[in-house]
Amino acid sequence: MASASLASARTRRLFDVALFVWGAAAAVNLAATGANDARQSAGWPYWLELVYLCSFLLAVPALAVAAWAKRRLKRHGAVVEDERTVDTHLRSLAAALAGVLAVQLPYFFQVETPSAAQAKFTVAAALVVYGAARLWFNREA
Amino acid sequence: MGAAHPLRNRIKVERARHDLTQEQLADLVGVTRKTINTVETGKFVPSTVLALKLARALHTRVEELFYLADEE
Repeated sequence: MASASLASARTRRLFDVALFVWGAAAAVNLAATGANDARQSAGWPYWLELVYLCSFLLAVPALAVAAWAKRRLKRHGAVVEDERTVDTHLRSLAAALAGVLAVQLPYFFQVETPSAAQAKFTVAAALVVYGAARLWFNREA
Repeated sequence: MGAAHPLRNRIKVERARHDLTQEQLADLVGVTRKTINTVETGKFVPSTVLALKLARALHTRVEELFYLADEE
């Protein structure tokens, strides 16, 4: 019982870490493509392409690990979602919405950016703010 | 109302009386350990259903487990 509980705790931590890595890497990946779109020139700068590639290579396995960990937790009968996690999700969504609106502010001051870049920056901001809010609301005493 | 009368609880005391860890109490009521922790520390106000489940798991009454700060 104790070892099963310990395994569940480890899997839960792995799930949290994998989800965080996926969110951060996906946001960096989107921001990199958005930055490249904003440049409006052919070809990628080497460093930006490297950032794009590294974040992609990090995001995909992290998502796979998160999905595996969640399935494992459910198979072991561990509680993955309850009223507090739903509450945290909703509050984080509200924070993400505020973040999305904040990212639109420069466009009201005639900052010229292609719409594709704007969309990617918006989604990246939503991911970052959602993740940060989730970490904050999930903190323990 | 909520700010003037924050909800307090005796979960930690009752949990210790029954020799239960946060993890064990969480398993009994079907929530995560972190939910028990945040309810105990007053950061999360549980629903009526969860409050009733906690009271039942700790063999006490809801009004003995939860109380308003001005009742201290």
